[in-house]
Amino acid sequence: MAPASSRLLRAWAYMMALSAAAIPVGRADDMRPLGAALTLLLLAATFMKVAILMNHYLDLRRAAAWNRALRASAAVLLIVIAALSLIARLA
Amino acid sequence: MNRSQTDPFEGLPGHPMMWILVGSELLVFGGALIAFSAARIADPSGFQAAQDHLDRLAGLFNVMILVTSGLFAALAVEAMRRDAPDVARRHLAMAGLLGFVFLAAKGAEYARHIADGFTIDSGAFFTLYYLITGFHALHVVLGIVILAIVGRWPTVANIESGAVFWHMVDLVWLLVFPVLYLVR
Repeated sequence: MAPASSRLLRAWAYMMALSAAAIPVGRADDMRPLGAALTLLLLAATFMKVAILMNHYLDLRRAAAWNRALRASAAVLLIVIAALSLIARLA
Repeated sequence: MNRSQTDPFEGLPGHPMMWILVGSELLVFGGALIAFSAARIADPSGFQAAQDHLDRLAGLFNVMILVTSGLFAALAVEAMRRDAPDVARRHLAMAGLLGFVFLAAKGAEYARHIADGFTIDSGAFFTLYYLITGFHALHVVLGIVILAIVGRWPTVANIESGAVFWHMVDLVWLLVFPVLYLVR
């Protein structure tokens, strides 16, 4: 297998594992609200998946400045969503 | 003056116009997810009650389908860079086929919601849910069309551009799933 293909397969495996982890972390079988810690953990895992996708699927390793800018944008978006979710818990 | 000083898109795969499109789409979806999260503040208990009617495992299934589909799109790019257009076409066909699986699963999910009486008029949660996931599903349809077009005329630039759009569709669902299905 070509090195690029095995790199992509590893990226796929990491993203699948992180996706599967969202079910226990997001307490999918439970109707109670998520705590702040689990919400942050869930969104951190989401950021990791987005970063892997950008690095390997989108191949932004070759465009470091764009990679940093897009990752930073995703991080800001997830931080805003986390903040709004925590405010909703207090509402 | 070398190219890196003149070309702001240097290093990005595919056509620069595709990146402008992808950037604008990400802004739209990002804004929609922020609007959804902000709307939750007005009615957190209503949003949670509505969210409990979603099938979280179906949402996860669709994450895994799109992540796997994205793998095939990325493998198609690698194959094309190795000058193997037939291999690239097969990978693109798999990516597109999984796109249809995503649409079928999403359609089945919509059918269950509607059978249970949850339509676009069933409160703010379901209005935003249908708008965001429906708009995303339209992008999946467009992505399948783009994959078919670049598979018909396979050059490195074409397949990179098609894959970039497909990965954007994948990336958006990675963000939609936790926000709509899990955060509460």
